[in-house]
Amino acid sequence: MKIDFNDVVPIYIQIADAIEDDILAGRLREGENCYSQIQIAKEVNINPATAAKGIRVLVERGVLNKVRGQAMTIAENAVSMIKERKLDQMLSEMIENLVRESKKLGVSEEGLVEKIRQIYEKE
Amino acid sequence: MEEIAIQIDAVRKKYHKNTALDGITVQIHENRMIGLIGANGSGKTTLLKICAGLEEKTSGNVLVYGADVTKDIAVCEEVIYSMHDLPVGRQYKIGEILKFYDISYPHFDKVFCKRVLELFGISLKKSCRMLSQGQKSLVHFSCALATRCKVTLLDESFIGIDIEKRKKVYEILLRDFMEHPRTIVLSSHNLSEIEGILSEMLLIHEGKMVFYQEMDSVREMLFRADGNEEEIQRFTEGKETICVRSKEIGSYAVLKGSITGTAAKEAKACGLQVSAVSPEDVSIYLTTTEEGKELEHLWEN
Repeated sequence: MKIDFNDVVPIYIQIADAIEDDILAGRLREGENCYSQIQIAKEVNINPATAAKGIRVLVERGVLNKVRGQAMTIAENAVSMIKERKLDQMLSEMIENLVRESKKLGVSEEGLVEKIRQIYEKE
Repeated sequence: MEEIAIQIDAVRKKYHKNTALDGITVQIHENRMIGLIGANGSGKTTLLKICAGLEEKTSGNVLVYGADVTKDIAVCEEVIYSMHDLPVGRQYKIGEILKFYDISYPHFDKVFCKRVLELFGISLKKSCRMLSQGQKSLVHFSCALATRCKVTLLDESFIGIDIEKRKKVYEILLRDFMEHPRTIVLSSHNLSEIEGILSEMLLIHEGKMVFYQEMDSVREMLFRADGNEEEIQRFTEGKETICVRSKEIGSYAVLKGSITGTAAKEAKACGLQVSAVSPEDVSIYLTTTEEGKELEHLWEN
């Protein structure tokens, strides 16, 4: 797990992302235990409070299930959930960029939609 | 329920005409690792010493676990103040200093202390006068940590330690904090080095508290937007800014809010380049009084 303190992404989000990456890569499996906050804190030398915040993000996203006490397990449909969310996020980011760049170039909304339609038809 | 480890109420400290602390009120919960940050002369040492009962306050109140540290022996044993250079007789051997800690602090873990010193290659037989500044710092730090006091106050404890050992020190500090949770307050001018191991940050400036916040909130407290003067002007109009700087080649503004928040998104939408402001820079932006003072006059004839 690598945390970059100079990254614009908040550290707890980086932790959440790193755990998701490990789930996607199969290093963590659905139904099994996730890393604990202490394990993460030791591994990357961060305060356990920050590690816990990263874990909380994944509980909120439904990727991790809180079972009695401290142990967290990976949700049964974690992989598909992560993929779906990432896709969604990626798509909206790309569209945002597209709109921004189009505005800079003076392309109108209709013009942009028309271009997308043309490309759809070609494919 | 979490207990309050240190309760600081309207604490003021005056040295003759100088005001070192100008009414600080803050509640520090137990089992946190807090960074006490502030420029030279901002009052960090005075605050820590008052918390430890080593310095008298002019007015106000400090309670450690509900007790007055200057009167209650039981609490006194649970508080340690340590710095890079404690006034210990130069003739003593390090082993003798350990003995002193051992009789003064009930939870002192001598074995642990020896292991830490061994890790840093410091022999117990060495006399204090033979130590370099870095080694002195390491000895005092190791002893303070090994007391396992419920309230551990480390005042610039890492001065003179080389970067490789400093990194080890931070790791040991964090690991020991996890093994034996307690309240650790550390003052340092190297915030960027220690920010990861902190859970909270207390920023003081000219004897007053600027904020006491969770580290994760500090990392999302401010953001910076870069662009040309016109763009920055347009974006900041009607908004509360921390600072706006116009330089020869580019301009930027620092605003409140997270890099992931709405204001930052708006800046991005305006074509500005948005970046996060590190805790270290947060502390500078929020305490700089002479805004944008340039250095050019230093070389004027």
